[in-house]
Amino acid sequence: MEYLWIIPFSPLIAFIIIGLFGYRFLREPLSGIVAVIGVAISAVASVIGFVDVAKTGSYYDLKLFNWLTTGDYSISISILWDPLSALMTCVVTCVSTFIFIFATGYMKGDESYPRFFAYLSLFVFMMLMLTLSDNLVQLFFGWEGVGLASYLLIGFWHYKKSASNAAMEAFVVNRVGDWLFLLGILLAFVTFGTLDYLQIFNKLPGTDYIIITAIALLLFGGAVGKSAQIPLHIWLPNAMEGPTPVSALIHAATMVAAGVYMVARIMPVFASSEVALDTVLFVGTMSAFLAATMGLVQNDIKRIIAYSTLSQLGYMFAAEGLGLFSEGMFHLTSHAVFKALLFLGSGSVLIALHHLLDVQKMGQIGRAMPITMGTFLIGSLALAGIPPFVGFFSKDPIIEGAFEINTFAFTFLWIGALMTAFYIFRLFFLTFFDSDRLDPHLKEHVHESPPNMTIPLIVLASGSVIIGFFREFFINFLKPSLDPAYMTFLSSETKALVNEGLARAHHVHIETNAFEFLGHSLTSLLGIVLFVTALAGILLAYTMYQIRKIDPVKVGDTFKPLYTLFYNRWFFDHIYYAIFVHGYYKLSKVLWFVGDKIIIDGIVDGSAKTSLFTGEIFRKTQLGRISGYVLQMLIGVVIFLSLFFFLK
Amino acid sequence: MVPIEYYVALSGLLMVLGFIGVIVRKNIIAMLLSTELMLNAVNIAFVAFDFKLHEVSGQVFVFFILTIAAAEAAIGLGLIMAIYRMKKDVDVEKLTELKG
Amino acid sequence: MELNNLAFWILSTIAVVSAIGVVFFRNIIYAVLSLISTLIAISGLFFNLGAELIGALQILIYAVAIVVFYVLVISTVPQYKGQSVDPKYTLLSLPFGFLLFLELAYVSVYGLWVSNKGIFSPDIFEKISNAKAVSTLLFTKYLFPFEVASLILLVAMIGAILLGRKDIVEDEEGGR
Repeated sequence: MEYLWIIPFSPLIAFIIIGLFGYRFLREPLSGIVAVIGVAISAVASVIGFVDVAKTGSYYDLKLFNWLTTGDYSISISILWDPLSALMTCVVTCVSTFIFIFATGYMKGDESYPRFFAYLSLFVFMMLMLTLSDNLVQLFFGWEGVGLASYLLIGFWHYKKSASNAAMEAFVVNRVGDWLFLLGILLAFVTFGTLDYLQIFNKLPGTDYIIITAIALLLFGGAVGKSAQIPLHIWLPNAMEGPTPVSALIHAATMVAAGVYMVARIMPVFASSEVALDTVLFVGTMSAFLAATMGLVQNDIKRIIAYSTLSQLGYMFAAEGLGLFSEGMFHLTSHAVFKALLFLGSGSVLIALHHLLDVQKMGQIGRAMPITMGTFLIGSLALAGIPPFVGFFSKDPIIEGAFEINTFAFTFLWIGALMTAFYIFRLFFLTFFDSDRLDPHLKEHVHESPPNMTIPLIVLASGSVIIGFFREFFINFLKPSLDPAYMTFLSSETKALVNEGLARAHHVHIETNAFEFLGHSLTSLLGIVLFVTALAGILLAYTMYQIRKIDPVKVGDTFKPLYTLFYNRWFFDHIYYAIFVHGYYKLSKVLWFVGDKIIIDGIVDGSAKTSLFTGEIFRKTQLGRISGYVLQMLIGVVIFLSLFFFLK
Repeated sequence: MVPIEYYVALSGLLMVLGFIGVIVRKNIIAMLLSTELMLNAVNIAFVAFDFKLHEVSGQVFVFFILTIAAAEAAIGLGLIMAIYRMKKDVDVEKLTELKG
Repeated sequence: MELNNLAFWILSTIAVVSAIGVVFFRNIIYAVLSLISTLIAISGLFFNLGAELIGALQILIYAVAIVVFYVLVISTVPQYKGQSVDPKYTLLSLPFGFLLFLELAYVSVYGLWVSNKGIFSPDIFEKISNAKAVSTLLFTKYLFPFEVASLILLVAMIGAILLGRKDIVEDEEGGR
């Protein structure tokens, strides 16, 4: 399995090549091609590794080289290749490949074309360091690295003030989470004396429950920041200022899923603490629900999809909180595919409409862009959870599991599903159908995108249709990483502990075979209810925005307080702004006045004034004549020698 | 044999004379000459101490002082030449740029 | 009176008188001549003490090499026509100078009394010469400072050449 090192380092090499020669030699088409080749190589390598793991079901822990040694523990750059990391790596590299290809079309003509692909390659490298790591430090390295790449790419059009502000906001909000994450790592190191996952897992049984809970919660704090969950979600919608391929790759498919992946990666730690699992469940559920309500009333095409990303990440966390880790990871996979598809579709629309973002000003462009419309429709159906698309096979099991485990979570997730179907089809109808509200000037130029943009769309759309039927394969594939009974690297005590932690999900039986699941859910009451919910959301959107039987404006007026609440995103941004920005500003002002004006300026100005005053006096002694200076020196020597006599 | 203390006192006297010379002279070259006097006073003290204290390190230091004196004379006179070329004078009263 | 004592008194009187000459002669040529006289007298004092090597070096380096510098510069710079000494400074410096002399003499004589004695007692000098003792120490214990001193001389030479040049280098580089 030595060839696995190619996976992370091929994008890094692409990054170095583009970074060094991008502007001078490669320029427009070539730097994109280099980036695509770099990521495609690692995609091929990871698929080969994936097949290998799928055949044997074992795991490989390769230590590439030692990074640094602290005491008895040496941190190494390593590759832990087991089904979980293999799946995540495959998702990252394969989705990246298609998004890179799409980006070669989307970024056409941009003057910073090489820089864009350099950053993208850097991002993929960092993301792979994160997914392949076998210890928390390398994970944290990748974690910070993707944060950096995200910052650079959100602020890619740095001359736009909103873009650079959004980049800064993303960075600062992520800092909060990363700070917690770092504390978690330190606490883990103090507790276990090691940071390798496999060693940590086997030291769990002897450790204090409270400490495990603290570690899990601190690490989850990092996941909340990176995956933009409530209450650290505010950066993700603003991050849509970046180019659309960035939104698709980083802020939908891969980076924001890193938190979900991390929780699954150190599943035994979370499973050892009920409180931690409950927190994950609660945060995930609330994010899924609140983000969906916010998505209902937005008008910016990319922000609507961003809120749906938030919401879907909430579903993944809820699944993990319920103990259904495999379902969470499967939803991550399917979400990566269809959300990338939706974002790329919206990118295609934006190219056609010259970056017009407001959905209220679009309409009836479906006829001019049939491929985009068709693939977007598939993505929307997948998101809404209509069979046989992939979203149905990944999202419905989570809601059904919630029904059996936790009624509170089920209620919110169920309502969230209704709203999901509604807002994505509201977006779909407003954009592609409905009345003609488009500016006539723009309308003339609406055209289908070139093949290097439509082919990724078609591939991802086919993925959205097909992958759902591989449900059984994926769930079984993940068992050696996520089901304690099959996890060969755990000791028997740890297995018992983890089994006990996951007991909440033991009585849940969800069909793993896709066809049986389909049959089961279309016959059982719960399945029908969920199906009808999704259809109802779509129909509601259809009546409101396509045939206009219900006037959306009137609905908004009727539920004025709710509308205001949703439209202002539950006032999260305002509250944070008031507390942190204004509070900080006030505090700084006080400190500025007391600390700077009075104390420091007092000292500085005072010393300056003192030296000025004494200087005025001593200036008189500076005669400018050497003789004078020597005479003063003579007097000084005499005085010091006299002192020597008197004090001896 | 005169007591060694006499030599030391002589060195002190020459030292003070050199000091006074630096202070009172107005010609820069003469000031530099006075510093040579001071260096020689130190030489005498070194050698005198050596013979009183049964040592020879002082004489080695005299050797170094001779070297430094040569270097100092070369540089000091070079500076005086430069000053002369700039000011067309060697009077210290004309060199008062540092006056406060 | 012993010959040694006589030599000391004569030589020290010459040294002090010519030192006063160095300080107060108006004509710079006379001052330089007085300096030579002082240096030769000091060299004689060294011989009188028994430090032959240093006495010889004193004459070779000081009285010949260094004084030649002065003569060269004095011949380049036109004769100085101003006042020789500044009366105001003379009045101020003489009392302080006298004080300093008393204190210096006291301090150094005091140091002479309280310091520890080394190993080179006079009977050793009967076996080996003073020159051999000094040079042995110079080339063993003080070898590194000796090399540094040679480097300083080289630097001083380069510096003096640069300072004494008529053309400033920048003018040549300016291409005019």
